[in-house]
Amino acid sequence: MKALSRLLLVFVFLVCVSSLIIAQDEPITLTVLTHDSFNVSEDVLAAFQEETGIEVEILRGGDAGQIVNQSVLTAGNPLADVLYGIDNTFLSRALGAGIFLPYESSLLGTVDSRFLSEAVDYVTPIDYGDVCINYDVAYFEENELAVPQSLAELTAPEYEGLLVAQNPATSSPGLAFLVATVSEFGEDGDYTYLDYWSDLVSNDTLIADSWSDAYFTYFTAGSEDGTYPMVVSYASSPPFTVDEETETASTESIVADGMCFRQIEYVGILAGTEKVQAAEQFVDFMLSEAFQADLPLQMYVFPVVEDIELPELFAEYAQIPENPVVVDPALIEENRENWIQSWTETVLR
Amino acid sequence: MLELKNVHLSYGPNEVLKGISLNIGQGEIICLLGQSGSGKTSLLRVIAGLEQETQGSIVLAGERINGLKPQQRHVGLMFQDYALFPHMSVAENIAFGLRSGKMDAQQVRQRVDELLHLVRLDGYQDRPIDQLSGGEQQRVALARSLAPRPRLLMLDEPLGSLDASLRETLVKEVHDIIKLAGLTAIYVTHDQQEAFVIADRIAIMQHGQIEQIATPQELYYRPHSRFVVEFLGLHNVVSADCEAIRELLPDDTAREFLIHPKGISLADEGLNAVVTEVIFSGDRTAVTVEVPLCGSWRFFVYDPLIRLDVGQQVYLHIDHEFIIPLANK
Amino acid sequence: MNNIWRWGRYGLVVLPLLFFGLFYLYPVATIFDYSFRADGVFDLSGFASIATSAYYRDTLVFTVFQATLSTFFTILLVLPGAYVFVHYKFPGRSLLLSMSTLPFVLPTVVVATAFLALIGPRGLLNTALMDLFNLEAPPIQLTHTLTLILIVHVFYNYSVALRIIVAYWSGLSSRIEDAAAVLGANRWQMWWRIRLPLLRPAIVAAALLVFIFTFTSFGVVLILGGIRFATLEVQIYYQTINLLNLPTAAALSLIQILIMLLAMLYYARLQRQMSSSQTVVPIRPKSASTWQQRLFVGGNLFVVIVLLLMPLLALIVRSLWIDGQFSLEYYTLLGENVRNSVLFVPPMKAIANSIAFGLMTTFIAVVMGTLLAYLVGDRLVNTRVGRFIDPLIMLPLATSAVTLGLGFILALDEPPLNLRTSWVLIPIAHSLVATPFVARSVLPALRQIPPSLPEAAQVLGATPFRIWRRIELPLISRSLIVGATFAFAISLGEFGASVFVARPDTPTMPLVIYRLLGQPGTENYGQALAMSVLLLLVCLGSFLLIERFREAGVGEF
Repeated sequence: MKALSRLLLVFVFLVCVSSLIIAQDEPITLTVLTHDSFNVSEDVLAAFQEETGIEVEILRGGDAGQIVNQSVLTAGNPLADVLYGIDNTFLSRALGAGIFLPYESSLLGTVDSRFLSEAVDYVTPIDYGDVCINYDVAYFEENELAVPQSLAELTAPEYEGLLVAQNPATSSPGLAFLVATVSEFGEDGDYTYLDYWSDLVSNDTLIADSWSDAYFTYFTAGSEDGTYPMVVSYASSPPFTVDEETETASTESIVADGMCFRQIEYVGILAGTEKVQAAEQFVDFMLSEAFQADLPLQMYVFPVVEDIELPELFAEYAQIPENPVVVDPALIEENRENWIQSWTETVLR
Repeated sequence: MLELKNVHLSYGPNEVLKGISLNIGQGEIICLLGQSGSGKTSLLRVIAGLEQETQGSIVLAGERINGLKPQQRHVGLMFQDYALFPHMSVAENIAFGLRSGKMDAQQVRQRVDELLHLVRLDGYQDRPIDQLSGGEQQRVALARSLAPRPRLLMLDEPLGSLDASLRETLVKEVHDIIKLAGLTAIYVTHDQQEAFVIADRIAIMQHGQIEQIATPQELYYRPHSRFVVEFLGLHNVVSADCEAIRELLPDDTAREFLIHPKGISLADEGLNAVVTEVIFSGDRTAVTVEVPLCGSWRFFVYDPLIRLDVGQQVYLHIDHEFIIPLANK
Repeated sequence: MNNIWRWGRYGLVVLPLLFFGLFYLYPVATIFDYSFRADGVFDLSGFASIATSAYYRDTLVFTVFQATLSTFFTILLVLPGAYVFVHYKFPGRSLLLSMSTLPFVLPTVVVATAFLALIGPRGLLNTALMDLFNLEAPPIQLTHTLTLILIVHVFYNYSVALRIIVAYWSGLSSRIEDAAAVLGANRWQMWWRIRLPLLRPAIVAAALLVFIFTFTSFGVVLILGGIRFATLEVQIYYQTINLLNLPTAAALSLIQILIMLLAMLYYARLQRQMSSSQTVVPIRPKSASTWQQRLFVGGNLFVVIVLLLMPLLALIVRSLWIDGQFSLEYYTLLGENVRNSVLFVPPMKAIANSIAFGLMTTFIAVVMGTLLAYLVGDRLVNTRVGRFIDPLIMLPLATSAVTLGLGFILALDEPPLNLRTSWVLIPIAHSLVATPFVARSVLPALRQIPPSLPEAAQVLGATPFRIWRRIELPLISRSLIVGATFAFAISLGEFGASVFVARPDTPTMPLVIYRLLGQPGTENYGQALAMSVLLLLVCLGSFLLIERFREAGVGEF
């Protein structure tokens, strides 16, 4: 009997201690909620931390869509102080849910005016990248395949089973690519974007859950086990595949007109944070030259601040489409759910 | 010592005790005798406080105990299934009631040893309950109820689950232990032999009422009602209309009389009867006779030399002392 | 003092009811509300989109289809197995039979990882075959196929179905088969005309239970199915986490709850019917004597062992075997917090979290489960409420964990219950799942205590608390330990609800495994394997503890 009561005491003690362990884990530093693809050079971040005394914790919450949804679900009691990685396809959802505190960085003036909109009251553009199809150069050469120059060509038999795209419901480049197809084929008429997607699926296009899954598991140039030589990725991805010895990139982007969608990534301060000042400092830091110049090789995107010198590797191999698809953000906001829903019902059946 | 006045107990519309009144003196052993469902156990549970009486008063040693919790009544109750705590040793079981009091460990141990000696289970202290025989369990249960020196000890069919031969020896033992401890006790049973051995007074219960309360002798020789007569297995009830013995009947308003077997003997002349059954059982012979117009009677013959055959004509002598008027329904 | 106890007792009644009301009924009611009027006005658009959409219909059809197939294959495989267990003696028989508790304590993420380690593209079997035959690509391509889902479902449910059918079969009279044999029934007739009809109640009950389990399958389908295969559960998750389409998610949950409720009610009825059969001449298992019999017994045991043990062994081996040699590298990686890791905290922290949540869950579930058992057993207050609460206890089991998670997110977002972002939701969600297990363990033990024991103690002067402490608690302690261990193991492995309510800064082990599995790269995969092994070991430990303390007949499942 004594043993049982002692056991009970120990147990209650353990429960109390364990509550403490978890409870005291509340972040004591600035926490940045971002997507899984976030990266920054250690020294750049260290310099910020040294200069401001702010410790930065990076919280990777999944895909861009998931971190936005998580933020909407936790509105008012956020998981982090700052949300980075929300792009123009999801921005309106976040703004609609009122998850951000207003902040206009003093450095906004340095940003290329193409990336400014009324949204900058709440969020700050940091970088942009064009979602385009990347292909495995070697595969196309070996098989003497012509590189497709329009979305329509992808349904041709010679490209059967060659493309891996992403689920727009779970991946932001996936959504961007979907928007590009909507813009190209339209919602009405004889041949809509949904007809196009049916044809893509009939042509054995693989749908992956996330960009990283598509790129690093199925893409021939991204994974040893990959079997798909084309992947929906970024026009700025090819520098990532440069072989240091041969100084050539094993992949290239297809930047033909109408095949790319421009994604702009924003940062915002989450309402409910108690560290507004530190958060503002971090937003400013992201517009600083040091961070902006670090962006290209860390996340393979372009900085939004004008006159940032691009790294040599990046300048040489990253491509910028001349005429990316432009879709009115209002139109995206209005139709996003609808498009995804219809897409899901067409493609995932 | 214990005084019950008009105690009622109901479960909804179902009345289990219908006005029980009973006085028990200090050091007396009262036996509640009756068939199952007669309310014996319910009465014990009411006295112990396990059931809440719907009406009536219970006074124990001058203190009204109605409404007191069982743990505040300081009575002992030995359950029919003994209710020994299976996860405790013999000593722990017996000591359970002592721990609630203010005894130190040394005193507790002493008391346990004392009780084990009393029930003749010396050395059984550390035995687990599941290794005891039925009789041993019964004695541990008795020791456990005795341990806190209850003001009143109640035993609910304490020998009910034991076999007959064991019962006979144990019942005397239980009697001696209770008397030795000088306890006031209520003993519930459905076995009249047991009741006769153990009780100072016996209360016959039926349908939630006490039919008769009396010493064993009085009960046996002066039963009050037809129910008691039949319960004791006495048989010979005659109606007041019975011609053959009309002149023997006392002057009474009763419509039924018991001709007690003790008052019937064979004679050379007297009441005419025909033997219908003879059952020899060692020291006595049970004889059943048919008395014309008065039904069949049974009595006992103790003389081994008398031989009777079925169909034989006999004459009976009736001792009028043993003609007992029974209460009218 | 008396009054305190009396009112205290009613307080003890209120506690579990309040807990269930607040954290079960209220969230579920919110789901109902939400699915009918998402924006405050009555609106059936959630249902309309489901009813009109071929996509959701497909989800429902697929859910039923895979559950039916899983059930069919499980029963098909179990029947010969049950024959062997009923008719033959062999070493390890009772151990294998006792494995039926295992699925309750084995986390889905661990099982999914284990199967990937065995037959996944980087699994042991594929790498071995590739080495052996010099193949370029893995020959077994089961990733994201229905086949893989079915295999895992059979793995999960084989032992449960086996236990039910064997228990029933052993209770049937051996004379019936003897009589049929004497009457000249051949082997076919024996199965078709004697055994199957006789076993019908048990087969139906087992099949229904397997159907219930596979219908609500979440982790297995989410991890192994890829995006093409979505059960209702997975669809609810997608609609919430990825699309933020809460009305549709709520409507799907509602459909799911109703279907499960019907199935559970039917199952409860079947269970009552089954309990009636017992015979005086049961079939006695004997040793296999002829070589055909030995082959048959051996074949079935082979299936059991390959099915149940191989994946778990493969998981352990694969986590230690790196590039042709044994190494603990994957395990040491668990302690490191790499800045560019997808995890916010080092994986080791997840282990601490899981254990902490497990302990809290155990505490809550043991308290609530015990109180519920007392309430149902009419031991707490002498009323008849018990019989009404009895079936309600099982409700959280009928409601899927995913639905529970969704309900939390929808319901607990306003003061005074603004818990949506609090880690407290995790142990609460786990407790809801675990409490029925505790109650079901304790109830039979409680019912076995004769009422005269507490009464005897009371007459001997013991207070109600002392009676509970000295008499009842010791007598139910074994069942309590079983229930507590169940609760701990369930909390450790819980995935469906956690994936909704856990914050990235307080992940549990299954969440970390899931997150790592979703990332490319050998290191992430390796860490997922190592983490799974650790979780597996804890769960196996719990299983052994349960079996050690479980008495025959304890636990009504």
